[in-house]
Amino acid sequence: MAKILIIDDEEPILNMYKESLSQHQVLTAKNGQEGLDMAEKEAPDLILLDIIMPEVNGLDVLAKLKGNKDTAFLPIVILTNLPEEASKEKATQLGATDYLVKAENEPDKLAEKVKEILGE
Amino acid sequence: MNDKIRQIFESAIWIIIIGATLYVVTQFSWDKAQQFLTYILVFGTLVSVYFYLSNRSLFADSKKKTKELLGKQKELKSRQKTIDLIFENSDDGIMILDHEKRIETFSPGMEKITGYDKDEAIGRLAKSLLKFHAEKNTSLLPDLMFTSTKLKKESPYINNSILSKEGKQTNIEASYTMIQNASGNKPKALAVMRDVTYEQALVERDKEFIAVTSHQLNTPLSIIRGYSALLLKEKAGKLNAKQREYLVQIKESVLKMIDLTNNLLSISRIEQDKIKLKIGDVNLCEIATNVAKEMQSKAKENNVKLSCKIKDKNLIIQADQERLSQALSNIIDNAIKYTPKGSVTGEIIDNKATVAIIIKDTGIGIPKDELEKIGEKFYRSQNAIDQDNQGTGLGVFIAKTIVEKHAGLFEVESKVGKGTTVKITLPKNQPITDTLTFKEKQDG
Repeated sequence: MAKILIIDDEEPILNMYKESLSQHQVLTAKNGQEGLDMAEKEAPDLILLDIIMPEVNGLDVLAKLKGNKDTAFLPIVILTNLPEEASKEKATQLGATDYLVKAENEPDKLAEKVKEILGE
Repeated sequence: MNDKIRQIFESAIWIIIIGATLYVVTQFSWDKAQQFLTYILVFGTLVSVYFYLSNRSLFADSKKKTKELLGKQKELKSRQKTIDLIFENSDDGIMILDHEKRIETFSPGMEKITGYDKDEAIGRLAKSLLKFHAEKNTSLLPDLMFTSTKLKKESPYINNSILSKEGKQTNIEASYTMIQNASGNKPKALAVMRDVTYEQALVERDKEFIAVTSHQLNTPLSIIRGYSALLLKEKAGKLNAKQREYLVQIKESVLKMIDLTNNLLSISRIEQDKIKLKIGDVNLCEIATNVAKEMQSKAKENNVKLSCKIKDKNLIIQADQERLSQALSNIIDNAIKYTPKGSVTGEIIDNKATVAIIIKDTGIGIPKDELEKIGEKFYRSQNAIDQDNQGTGLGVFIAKTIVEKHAGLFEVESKVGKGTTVKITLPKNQPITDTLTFKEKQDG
């Protein structure tokens, strides 16, 4: 069982992915700042991160986590509905492990991806 | 009367006059002199008539020519007036540099863009007056202006920003050309500059609008899709047959909505020329095999046999892998959709400088008179509408646009009831595209 942190401002999204990842310990954060705090405090095995969020957006969260030596090694998967190539490129440059578009990835597919990244 | 005949005629008159004079001198008598004077009188009258007539036509010619010259002069004046009006009133800046790259002409448009008066600018070195954003182009405009001799559609242009006298940054787009004249004078160069700050801000705003809209539309759609999938997996309890049937309907509809949203976004980006190809070496066999794999389940659902004929498994071309996959995927998806039962075959042919990708189906086909419209945005053939009224007519348009962005050719052949063949011809090497900026062209 891995510890997974999902950072997303949409409650239905959080609940949906929580359900599909029920075999893991799932933590949730509803905005970027809360996500940053939890990532440092909880030291999760994997972070699923949305981009468009109030206060601190996902790309800033990603940059901060990758710039912090305590969290830089964490695999971070961007989970967004922004299909813009520019966002994908930026996320990859910042060190995201993968970039998934929510509308194209059903919960089960995400669970498979998580399994793959965690090497289970 | 033309000049040659006139010359002969005049020479003949002189010969006659000289001959007659010699005759009179040698044969002089008063009677003959009187007779001769009569002849001279008659002859002189004839010559006068001739010269009058001749001069009259010359006079008419010269009058006509003068009139023509005056007309041309008037036209030139009027043209000059028009050019002056354009020069004075155009918001675009017009600047001419002499061979030393000193400013020779500086239009009011340039004054508006740069904040400098004509009097401050003329005679100054362009580089010392105009502060361009150095990082945007390796060579700055005054140097570039002397590198091209065309100011047409294909004229080179640069996007740059310029710092005005007051320190205001203005984004500009400039086209330029060198003026060489036949008389061997030292070359000059002309640049036409446009303030595109507002347009660029609009593009940025539009980009943000598209991003936000796609996010806003896709978020609820992904929630509906995700929860439908969870319910169908019976994560919330067992489903009866009716509940399952309804959920399948919900999921299928939401998938269509997601597809439509993504297609509309693709089109919006294509139309704003935002899709820039990321050209790299692409293994065509790999792309085709992957797309075929993704499409297998759909083919199976439609009772369609999907196969691929590829001879050279290491055929490499220069293309944008993601976009090319999208184009092939759209074409194969269409072929399967409109082949109720039968086969869809893909084939790749190596033609040395180009490659042909042929996708052949045994489906419903397209009526002959509708063939040329295939690939137009939102166009669907009548028999396709009759079979399935859910399509959007966007998939083929997107595929065709992607092929054309690769400098490729998109051709369709079809027979109603027999099937359709789509032939995509792509160059193995990509030319530099128009969408690249000048710097990208230079770097490339």
